[in-house]
Amino acid sequence: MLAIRFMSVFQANCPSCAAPIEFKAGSTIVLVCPFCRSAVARTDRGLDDLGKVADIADSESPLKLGLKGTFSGHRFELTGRAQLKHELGGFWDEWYATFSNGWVGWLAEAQGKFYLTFYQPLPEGAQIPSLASLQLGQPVEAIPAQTPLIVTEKGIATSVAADGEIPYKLTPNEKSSYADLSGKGNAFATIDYSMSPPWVFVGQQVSLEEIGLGAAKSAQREARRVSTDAMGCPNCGGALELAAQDKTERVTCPYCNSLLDVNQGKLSWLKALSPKPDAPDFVLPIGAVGTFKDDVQFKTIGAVVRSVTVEGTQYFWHEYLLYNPQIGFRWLVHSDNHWNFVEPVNAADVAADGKNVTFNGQKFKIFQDAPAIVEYVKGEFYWRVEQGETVRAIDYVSPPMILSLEQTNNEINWSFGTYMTNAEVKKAFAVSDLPKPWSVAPNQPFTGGFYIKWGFALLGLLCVVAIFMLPFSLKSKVLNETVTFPPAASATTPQTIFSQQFELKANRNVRISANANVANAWADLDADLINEQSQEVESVNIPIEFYSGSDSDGAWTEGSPTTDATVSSLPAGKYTLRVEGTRQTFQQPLQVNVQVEQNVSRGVNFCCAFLILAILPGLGLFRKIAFEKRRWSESMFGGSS
Amino acid sequence: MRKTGSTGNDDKQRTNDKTMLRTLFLIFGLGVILAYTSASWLGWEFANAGSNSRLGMPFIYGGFRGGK
Repeated sequence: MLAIRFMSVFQANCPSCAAPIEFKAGSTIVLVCPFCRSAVARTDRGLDDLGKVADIADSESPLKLGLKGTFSGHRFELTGRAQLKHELGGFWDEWYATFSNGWVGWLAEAQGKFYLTFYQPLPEGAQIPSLASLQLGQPVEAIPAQTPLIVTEKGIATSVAADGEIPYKLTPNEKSSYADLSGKGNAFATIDYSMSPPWVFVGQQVSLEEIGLGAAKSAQREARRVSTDAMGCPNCGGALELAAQDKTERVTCPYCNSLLDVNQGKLSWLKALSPKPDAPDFVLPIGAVGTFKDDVQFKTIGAVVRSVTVEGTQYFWHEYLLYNPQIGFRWLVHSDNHWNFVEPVNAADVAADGKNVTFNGQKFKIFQDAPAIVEYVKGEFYWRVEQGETVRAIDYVSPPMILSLEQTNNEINWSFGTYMTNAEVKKAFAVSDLPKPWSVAPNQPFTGGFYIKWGFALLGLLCVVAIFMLPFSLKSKVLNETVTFPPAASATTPQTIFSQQFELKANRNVRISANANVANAWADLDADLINEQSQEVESVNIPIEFYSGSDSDGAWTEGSPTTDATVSSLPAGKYTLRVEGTRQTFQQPLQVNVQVEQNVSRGVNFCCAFLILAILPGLGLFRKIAFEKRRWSESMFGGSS
Repeated sequence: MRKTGSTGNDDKQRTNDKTMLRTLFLIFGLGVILAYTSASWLGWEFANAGSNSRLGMPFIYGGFRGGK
């Protein structure tokens, strides 16, 4: 920070009205005479009368000359105030803060936000780009700062009014070009192109509490709020009451459908509004109060119908301007009956990532890039809204969030939206019967994610359990015997053979397999496990067929000489296997090898459990793919970027 | 649009239903895993052969059936 010290304190007479005036701060260049409102500049040659300056417009600012605050441990006093006019209308205040240690600071106040900046000398050789070559959204490397400062606005300001002592040569109605920049962590800077080379002021956005002026805010605002009067429409005389009187630039008259300009608290008729386009009606009335996150209340003070035209089709949506005196402005966007709560974000917090952007560590995919047009307005607005006003609007999505960039030739604005369900909007405004949404909103979250996430978690758990169970399923062979069936009377005459005794353990499945030396023939075996103690029987059928040969396609086989069957666990004990068989080649003896095994891993249980558990997450995944397809079918970029 | 004194009863009901369905889903899923673990531990076979059935479809062995 630079301590600017010019001249000592001195008293003189106003060159215009001869009233006594006093330059209190050594850094003061211009003093507004409190008697005749002439801007009096002190120079080496004496005092110059720079002309009359207008009265400061009542802006309902919580600040006033003489207020004392603290910043970085240093006390300051507000000793001067300049009021500037934006080229698109609207005013902002710049307060001159004289610090006890000699610092000179500027406290800019615009749309309820405060920015404290200090003159920043540039390093030797550093050159600020010309105003014309400044690119919106690009950083200005020449400015020494802890974080890159990117250009968010270029404009022309007109000095319209002043009060107190000003540390530069303020000429009434003089126009000057400037550029505003912002950086991460509320960093802020302004380049003043009225000087050559341009002067740079660097600082940050602050709250009044942070600079020791918090107490002034509430008392001042409360007093002013009580004194707010209703105004009359200059066209039809209808009574209009403004909710944000100090910030409103435009208001519509609900009685005669006129668009009115608000200039320093006075209304003037601009034009009759064009008829509303063929778009759905507003569903929320102006004046509706909604309670949002953290129980913060916002009042709906304005509503806009906007549209974009994509591939010849015009799409409409509504935007409601919300206002809370302590917080400022927010938006509630209503499109295809989907809702989004939208708040402004610092442009420096958004980083480009190819076609996409990153914000707060979250990647947002580009969704739409089209000119958005204001079709119709209703209520009051903090900017000079016009029907037909067009901006380039780019939407980036990361459901349930959406980032929007609105860009004109001179300004960029980023905003961050959060999807609200109909139920949330109903609850916020204590209403019912909101129309149901259709299609899929760009940032509408998929609601079936729970079943996908937890469904796959359950499948994972199943796999872990299956792996855990592997050591407990070691296969053991309890019988391996070869039996021989002698020649039979016919193919349907059954023959029975008993195996030797063997022992089965409890809680283990049992697999019986048989291998018969059949060639182009069949053998049908019924195997009975007989419990020697209880004489109870468990039966399985083991049909064996094996055919082979060759044809024009080569050799072929069908069936297998080995077949098995598995049963659940049986009570532990001694068992005998009774095999009853019939066969095609009954005239010849048939050797059959029978085996009985326990603890056989078959995977059937696992596959069945897996399939059952996979149904819901599988369906969920299918739904999600269809949902995303519908979402991106509305996009200009198809989600492939 | 109708202004309501106390809103959200239907929405609350819907939220409760949603929560209940999710809970049921988790209980069902954990039940399947528990059944699989039990079957593996106790040697139960799903879709096995066995008994007098020649279709091989009785799922879980529930005791001896019949005798010869």
